[in-house]
Order: sequence, then structure tokens, then C-alpha cells
Amino acid sequence: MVYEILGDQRESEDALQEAFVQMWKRASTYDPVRSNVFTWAVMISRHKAIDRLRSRQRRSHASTVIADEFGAADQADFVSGREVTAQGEERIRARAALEKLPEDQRAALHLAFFSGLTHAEIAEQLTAPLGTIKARIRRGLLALRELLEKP
Amino acid sequence: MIDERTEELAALYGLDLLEPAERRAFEARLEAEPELRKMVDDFQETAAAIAHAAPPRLPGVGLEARILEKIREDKIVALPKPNSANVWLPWAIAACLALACIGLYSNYTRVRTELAQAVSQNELGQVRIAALGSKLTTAPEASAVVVWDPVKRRGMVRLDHLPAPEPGRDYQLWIIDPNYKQPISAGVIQAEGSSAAMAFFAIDQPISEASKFAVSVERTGGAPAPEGPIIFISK
Repeated sequence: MVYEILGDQRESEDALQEAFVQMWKRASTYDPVRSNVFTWAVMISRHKAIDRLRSRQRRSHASTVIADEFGAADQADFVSGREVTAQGEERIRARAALEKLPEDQRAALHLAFFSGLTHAEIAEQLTAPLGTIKARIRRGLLALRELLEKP
Repeated sequence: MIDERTEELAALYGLDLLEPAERRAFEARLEAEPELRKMVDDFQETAAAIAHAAPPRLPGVGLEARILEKIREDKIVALPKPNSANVWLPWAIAACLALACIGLYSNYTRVRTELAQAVSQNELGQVRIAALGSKLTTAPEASAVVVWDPVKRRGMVRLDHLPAPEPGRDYQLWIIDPNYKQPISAGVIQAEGSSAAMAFFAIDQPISEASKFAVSVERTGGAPAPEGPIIFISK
């Protein structure tokens, strides 16, 4: 995920290091009632990566790359059989759920999650009105949650 | 009742998409509206699944060691909790790191082994991390991790994605030490239907290094010796 945001191995590892140090510092604030550890760790790591991306001032380039790779990401290889651990299965389930979303919602969510753009910038990127983009993000998250909750 | 506009703000906030002024205004509402906070938490939980869309990629060799080195070099101190759980922080952190690694990296076994080794060589000293194998067919996503200090004879257990026990039942943690005829109770784990449950425990009697851990379903309040089915056990 961090690499997907930053597109650079060294910088991704630096961001991941910052994220884990923050997890160390903030471990006592982790509340298992509010979120599971995966969500907590993902959100801290994503935040660190997005911070770096925004400070790079390369938003336009990065979002273009992501948009270009979006189709490819959908068809990316799943983890191999020997890597199918509990998390591998979770990954497959999440990808299957994402693929079931309407394309406009999926594109909005991908940009929202990986690009570091604001909602206004996402609207510009996808050439859609701001209100439409906000609605796609909301509806996309609601639909994704419903899909993930299905057994 | 949360209206659609507020739900939209919650979704955008959960993804860190709001402009600074919007964010500040929304955070003021979050303080006062627990229902809204819950909605944001749910959106973030859902959004975290989008991370799986990124192709799996392993970090470079030694990243885990560099992270632990950084923590040690900078003498970074974890924020204390305002209660007696402070002494358990290293265990909680170790468990978080272990579980986060499981989530963020694809090669669970390798990372867990490396992390355990790295941790054992650093300030967490003698702490051991054990991922318990599930025997549950009804909850395939359920997981259990025990972080254990055999010298101080204390530790913590964390259960994830485990449904609440049936009425009249509790989950109970056991230490199986070959030097004792009966497994030693490490206490009951309160799992009240939330996705995660965590408990700290301490043991009075000496425990051997060859000990294993297990979780069973017992009567409410726990039993002096295991009576119910074992649902997790370490290898």
C-alpha cells in the first residue's frame, strides 16, 4: 500500500519506518473497541505515506500514474497459493469486493485512498462535479462495507 | 439520526479528504457525537480494505531491525496510559507490531519469525510471541496472539474476529507446561461481541520454557481445569 502511494522503494520504507515508530509511541492510544489492529496500522501507514506524497508537490504526476495503473491494478496477480494465509484470503476477499463496485465509485475510492488528492482535486481529475465525487465516495464506502460483510 | 450530508462528511473525514477548516469543524462534532464517531470508525475500517488493492510487496531486508534500532536510538518512549496498564505496554506494542506485520506484509510466517527474533534481541528482551492455531471451523478468520515474558511470568493475549461466547460460557486462556499435570489457568478473556478482545495475565508458579498456550470455551468465570473444547492452541 505504501509503495502504491509513493512509488519509490526507499521512500516507502522510510514512511513505513515512521509509521511503526508512531505505532510504538501511540500504542497506548490504540483502542481495540474502535478498530482492529489492521485498520489502525493501515491508517497510520497511509497517513505517513500521504504526508510524504503531499510534501513532494508531485500530486499531478502521481495521480496520473495511479489513474493509468488503475486498470492494471484491478487485474494484478493475486498472491500465489503458497502465500494464501489468513491475510491472503482477506486480500482476495477485499479485491473481489472492490471489483464488484460500480466503476465510477471504485475509481473515486482508489484516488481517494492512494493519491493524496483532496476531494476537489479528485473531482478535477475525474472531470466530475464535486458533489458527484463526494456522493460516489460515500456510496462506494457503504457498498464496499456491505460487500465485505457478506459471508 | 445522521443525515446524508453528515454521512458524506464522515466518509470524507475517514479518508482524510476534508480541507483543514472542514476537518476542524467536523472534529468538534465528533467530540460531542459518539454515533458520528462510530460511523467514522466504520468507514475507516472499510477504507482500510482498499489497501488490499495494492499488489503485495515485501519490504527490504532488515527493515524490521531498522525500526527497532530507531526506537532504541531515539529512546522513544511510548505514551503512557493513565492507569496501571503501563507495565504492559511493551507487550501491547509487541502484539501490535506482530499483528500489523501480519496485515501489512504477505509472508506471515517469515515476518513473525523475524520479528520475534528482532524483538528478542532488543529491549523487549525475553518476550515471546506466539500465534495460536485456530481449531474453529465456524470462524475461519479468528486469530489469537499471546505475548509472554517467561522470566516475569506475565503476558497478554489478544483475540480477533472471534464471536462472543454463548450465554453461560467464557473463553479461558491456559498455559500448558510439561512440568505440571494440569494446564495452568491464565484467566478468562472478556469477548463481548466486539471484533477484538485483549487481556493481561500474570502467573504465580514457575513456568518452563517449553510451555504452550491454549484457549478453550469454559463455563462463565472460568474453570480450575479445562473442561470445554480447545479452540486455539500454540504449535
